[in-house]
Amino acid sequence: MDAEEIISSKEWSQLNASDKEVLSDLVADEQEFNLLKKMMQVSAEMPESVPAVNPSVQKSLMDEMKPVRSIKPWYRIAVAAAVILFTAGLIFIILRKETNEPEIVKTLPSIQKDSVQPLVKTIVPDTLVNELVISDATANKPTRNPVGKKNIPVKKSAPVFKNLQADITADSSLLAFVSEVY
Amino acid sequence: MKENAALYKLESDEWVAGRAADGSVAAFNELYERYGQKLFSYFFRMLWSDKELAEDCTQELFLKVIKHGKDFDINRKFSTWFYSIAHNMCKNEYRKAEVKAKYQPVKTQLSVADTEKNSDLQRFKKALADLLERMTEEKKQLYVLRFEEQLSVPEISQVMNIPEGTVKSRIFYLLKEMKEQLIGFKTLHIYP
Repeated sequence: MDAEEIISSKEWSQLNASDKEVLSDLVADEQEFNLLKKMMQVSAEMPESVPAVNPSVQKSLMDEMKPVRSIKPWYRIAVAAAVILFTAGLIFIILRKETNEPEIVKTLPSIQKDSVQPLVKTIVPDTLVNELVISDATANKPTRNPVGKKNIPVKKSAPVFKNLQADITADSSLLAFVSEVY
Repeated sequence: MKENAALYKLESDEWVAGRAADGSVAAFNELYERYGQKLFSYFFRMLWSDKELAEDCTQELFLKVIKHGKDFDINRKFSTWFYSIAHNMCKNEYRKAEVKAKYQPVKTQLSVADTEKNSDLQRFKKALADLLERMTEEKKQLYVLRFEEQLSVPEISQVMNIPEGTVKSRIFYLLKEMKEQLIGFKTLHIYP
């Protein structure tokens, strides 16, 4: 216990040797001890002598509370609306991006998802052979699909391309395929 | 509304302050009931017993709770946080030299009951009030917080932002100084 606690909690007659030792620098005798004790008691009663706070203080504070309450829901609604708009915008952009695929993807059926095109329509542009039966060529070795990495079965009855020296610029799908391969 | 008010009475200061900051009128009323008069009393004692100024400060302090209550650290004791703000507001008032000069002439007008039967006790109270008014702001704040508002040493340490050991030693020397100033009363009949 320090000096202040001893004075506030004990009477002079209750002090033991260690208490008096702690108080030795502060009080010399019982009268000084009682003087400080009385000073503390009077001070503790001081707030009671203070007048009551004016009720208008509380009233004006209540008036301040009302705007806070009315603004808050609007603020929340605004934030929620902003989040919804942002999310909707994001979804719209993503969907638009998916639909705006390059023209080559749209025109070249061979790289479209889940579609298997018969190899018979495929033309090898740089061959020097005038007439080639693809079905014969693919019959001996496995055919490679450039995109799907699957061996595509070739029908033996597939039609034969006779004019392999045709200008590739004449056929847009052929040009697209060559671009895709290279 | 009534249910809410009853509910808040059972809750801690910290929880009620949080709801008040969220805009709950019932919570704010409860907080004001707990601290309105206490804080007003503190300001009144610290600010030259000026009722109007004390009310203005009380109002300003509660406005801070309404507007900046979210800044309150829930790990801290609310009363300490509240008194810290009040302490800083008093310091600001002291810094306003004009205000201080204005109120110094009336600084000894502390209300001491004229109907006091024990005239020695009345004189003692008057002398104590005068002594407090003559003290430096820091000493006065320490005295008011400890002996009038009855805050503990750790609480005062947080409010005044000084170590607990320093608070204890300052209280000791303050008591010593006050005893020497009031030594003339030691033989008078001021004791019940």
